[in-house]
Amino acid sequence: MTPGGDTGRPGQPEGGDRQPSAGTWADDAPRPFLDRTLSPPPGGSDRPPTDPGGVRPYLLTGGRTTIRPDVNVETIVSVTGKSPTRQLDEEHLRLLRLAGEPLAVAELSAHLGIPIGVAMILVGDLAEAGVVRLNDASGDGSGEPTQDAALLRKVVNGVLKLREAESL
Amino acid sequence: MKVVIAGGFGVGKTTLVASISDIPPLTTEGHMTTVAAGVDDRTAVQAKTSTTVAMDFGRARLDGDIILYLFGTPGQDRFGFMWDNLVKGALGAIVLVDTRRIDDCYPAVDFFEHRQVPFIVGVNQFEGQELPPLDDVRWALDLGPTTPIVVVDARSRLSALDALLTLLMHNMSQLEARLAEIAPPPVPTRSRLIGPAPGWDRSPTGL
Repeated sequence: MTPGGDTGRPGQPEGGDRQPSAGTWADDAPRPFLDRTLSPPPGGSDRPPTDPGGVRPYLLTGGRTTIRPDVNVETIVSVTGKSPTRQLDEEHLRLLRLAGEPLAVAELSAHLGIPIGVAMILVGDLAEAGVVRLNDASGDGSGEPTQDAALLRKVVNGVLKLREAESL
Repeated sequence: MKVVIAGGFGVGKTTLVASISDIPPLTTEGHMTTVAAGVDDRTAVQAKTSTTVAMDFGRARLDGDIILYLFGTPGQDRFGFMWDNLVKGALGAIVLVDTRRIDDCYPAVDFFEHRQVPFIVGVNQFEGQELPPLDDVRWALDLGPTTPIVVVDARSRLSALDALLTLLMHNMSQLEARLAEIAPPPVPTRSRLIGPAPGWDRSPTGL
C-alpha cells in the first residue's frame, strides 16, 4: 500500500510531469545521462561527497532493484569465512572487507559512501554467495517488536538505565 | 531494535540522533529512486535533477545486549519507498516539529498514521523560542487524542531519552490495548474447553 496514496513508489518516477530544465543537459542526446562524466552539469557540485565518482547506483547493482526480504537497514552483517559460491565484484569485496567487524547495513552504506538501497542489494548478494551471515537486529529475532511485550519491556528498561546514568 | 526520527529539513533530527547515539551520527544516501531509475531516458534525467536525501544513522547499546538503531530521515514524499523499509519492524517513530514550519512534518504524520506505526510528536525547543500551547500544535497537526506530544530539547541527551521513553510507553499501551482485544479475560471453564483464543500462542507468557 502506498501511504497517503500520493507518495513515491519504487520503480516509478515521482512527479512524472516534471521536465528537466532545458540547457542544463544535452537534451538532444539519446541518453543524456551518459554525458555525466564528460560534461558535469553546473548544478553538479551539490552532489554529496559520498557519491562514488558519478557512477549511477543501478550500475553498482547491475541494474537490479530487488531487495531480499531478510535484508533491512538495520540488519547486522558478519562474515562467515567461507569462500564465495559466486563471483564477487569490487563493490562486494569492499563491503566484505568492512564487514570483518559485524556492522549494520546502514553503517556499511555510510562507510562506503554508497546509497543505502544499493548496499541492501549488494549485501543480499553476499548472503547468497554464502560469505556473510545476516542477523536480525531486533534482539532475539522474534520478529515484530511492536507485538512483543517482553522485548518492549527490555528496551524500556535499557533506556531507563541510560537515563538514570545521564541524570546522575 | 530501531527507532525512526522523522521531520522536515533542519528541524533537529541529526541533533536528536546524536544526543542518543553512542557513535557520532553517520550519514548515508537514502535516495532509492536513482536505483529504480535508469530503465528509460526520462527517469534517468529525472534522477539527475532531483536532490539526494540524506539519512542519519546512530546507535546506542542498551543493557541486555540490545542495540538501538536510530534513523533520522526527512519526511519527503519521494522518500516513500525507503520509508517502507525503515518502518518494517521499527519500535516506532518520533516526528520532530519546528513550530515555525509546522507543515514540514505533515507527510511524516500522514505516513505513520496510515501505516499504523506507533509515533509521538516531539516539538523541538529551539533556544529563545516561545512555543505555542501544545494543544494548538495537536490541533494544527490534526493528531488523535491518544498520540503523545511532548516538548523536546534535541541537544539534551536527557530530554531526548525522555522523548524516546514516551514513545516506548505509548507503544506499550497500544500493545496492551491490542492484547486485551485479542484475548479478553478468560471465562474459566468454557474457554478451557474450546482452547486458547487465537493469538494467545504469541503471548510472551505462554498462557
